[in-house]
Amino acid sequence: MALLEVRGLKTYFYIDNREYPAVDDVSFTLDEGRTLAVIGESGSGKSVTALSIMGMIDPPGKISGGQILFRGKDLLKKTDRQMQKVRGKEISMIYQDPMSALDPLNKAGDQISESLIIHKQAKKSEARSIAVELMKSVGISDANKRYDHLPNRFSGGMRQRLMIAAAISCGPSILIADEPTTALDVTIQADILELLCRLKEENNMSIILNTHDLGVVAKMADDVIVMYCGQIMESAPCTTLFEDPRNPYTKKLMSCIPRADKKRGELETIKGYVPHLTSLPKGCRFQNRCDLVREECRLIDPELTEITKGHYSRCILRE
Amino acid sequence: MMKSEISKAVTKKLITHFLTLMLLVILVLILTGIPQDFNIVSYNARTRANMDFNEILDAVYRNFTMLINGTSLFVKIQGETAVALLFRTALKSFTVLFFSSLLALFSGVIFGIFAARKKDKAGTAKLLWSLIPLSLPDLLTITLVHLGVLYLYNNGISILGILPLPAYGDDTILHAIYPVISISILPAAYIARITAGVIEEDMTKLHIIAARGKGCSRYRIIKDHMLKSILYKVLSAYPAVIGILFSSLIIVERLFYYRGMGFYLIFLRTSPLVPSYEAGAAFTLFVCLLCVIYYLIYTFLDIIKSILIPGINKSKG
Repeated sequence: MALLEVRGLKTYFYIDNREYPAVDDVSFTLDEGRTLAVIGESGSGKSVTALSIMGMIDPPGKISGGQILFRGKDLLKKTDRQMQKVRGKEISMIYQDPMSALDPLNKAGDQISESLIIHKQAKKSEARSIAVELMKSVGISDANKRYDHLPNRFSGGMRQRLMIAAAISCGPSILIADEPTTALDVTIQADILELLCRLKEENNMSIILNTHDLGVVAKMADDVIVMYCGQIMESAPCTTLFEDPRNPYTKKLMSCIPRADKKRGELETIKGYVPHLTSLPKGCRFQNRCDLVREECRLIDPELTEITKGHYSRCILRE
Repeated sequence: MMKSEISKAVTKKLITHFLTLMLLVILVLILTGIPQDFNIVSYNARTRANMDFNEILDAVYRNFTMLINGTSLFVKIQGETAVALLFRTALKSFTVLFFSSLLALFSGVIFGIFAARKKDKAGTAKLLWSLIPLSLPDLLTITLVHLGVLYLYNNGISILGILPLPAYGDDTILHAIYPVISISILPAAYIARITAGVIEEDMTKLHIIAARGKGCSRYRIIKDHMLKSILYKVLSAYPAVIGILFSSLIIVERLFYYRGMGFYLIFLRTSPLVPSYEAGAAFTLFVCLLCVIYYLIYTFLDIIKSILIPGINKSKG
């Protein structure tokens, strides 16, 4: 049994009596100890998928269909109170912007102990000593002293380490990392990724990694899903995807990676913009930006089809 | 914030507020010094003052000198010196002001927490509960409470097993209960709206979403992650709350015949029992003291704010 199985997840936003599909019929599985990368441009539905799994979709958003099976139990059938026992304990999340994801008025250490107090019923002193150890384990020096500092006294990278420490404090089975390195300096990004890899090994966690950085995906992921306008365009094991991308969108994303062996010329981009949820085209959602577009693409919304074992693509051009 | 920075900020605030207070007292002395019978009249199609400018100037000057040389402290009001009357009434008024500010603070914050709309609900009723008292004139709110109090008292109805509370007078501390309740309704509604606003606004912030992601309940989020910012916002708005309390004090004391400073401000201006010279001197004294006390509270709150809030701004940055 998969650790997490998302089946036909539909998260729609309802504005002025119209529905806008932020996540549309998304399915994937995550096995224990694996890293699943979710890649796509901004607005592709990565974060909404993550928040749907966490059960933190607020109005006007609503999960309209599908199942999220965690160890075989459907999280969507749980009440908010029941989900509070899952969040932070079984499934944790770290966020894109560590600068604003920490409470500016609470001590850094207290924000790590919080989960321990909630889920493990730890006493404040116990929680403090565990939190100090966690701070040390994520690379924060002089942890006992810095426990009492407010977050403003930490750099961006250090704040992300604090977030990670808080997220892993209860030993979750799944860590959702929503673009964990996007807001950080390039020099810090590698440290944070290495930290995540190490913690994953040490704690036997599974990771869902939202990113638009294909370099990060290549380094960390076991499996990859490529999202566009709320739909999965392609999903495959990581090596398969990089060696043999089938979907025109994935191919385009790959072509945008700067290559050391290509010395001159302009960097590749994908022309146009991700269509807004309010104006999704009929047919394939990538049609307006696709070089291989055909007349059928404007009429038919293609299904996600298995091309080879474990490799799926959403395109009428199978080859 | 460094200690030297704090002391520098506090000193700056103290000097600024002292100078503003001086200006305010001068303004009060000018306004209260204008003779009560001053008027602008129309006669034979000409509009003119009923006294010339020098007369007004003399009266204002007299007002200044009486306060400076202390004459106004010892004028007799119904056999009692103005200063003795001032202390006696100030004690009564500040009992009401102190308890009403506490009641407004606690009930406002608690009510605001309940009045904050959840994101999946429109919560119009919740919004109205805190907006209705705010949209009514304070005079109407206090009068409605007063009518209710009279009904309870006249029918001998007790609340929570307490004997019918006295609806009039100022003999015991029990007499202060209804004035305290009626004066604190409007500020409580004001604080409730601030609290609800902070909660509704903060719920969308990333650190609150992160707290939800850790498994915090709504109650825990409010207690551990919002209460400080609610109290900072309330603290910022507290001078306005104190202002509302001071302005309502006159109405409440008059309606409940609670003889505090507010009651005597009206009494001194309207009663034929006190000669106008004595009444004017005592009135000036009362207004000046109210002004000074309001400003002391305002300065205290402002200093607290300047110590606490830059730290928050800094931490947010």
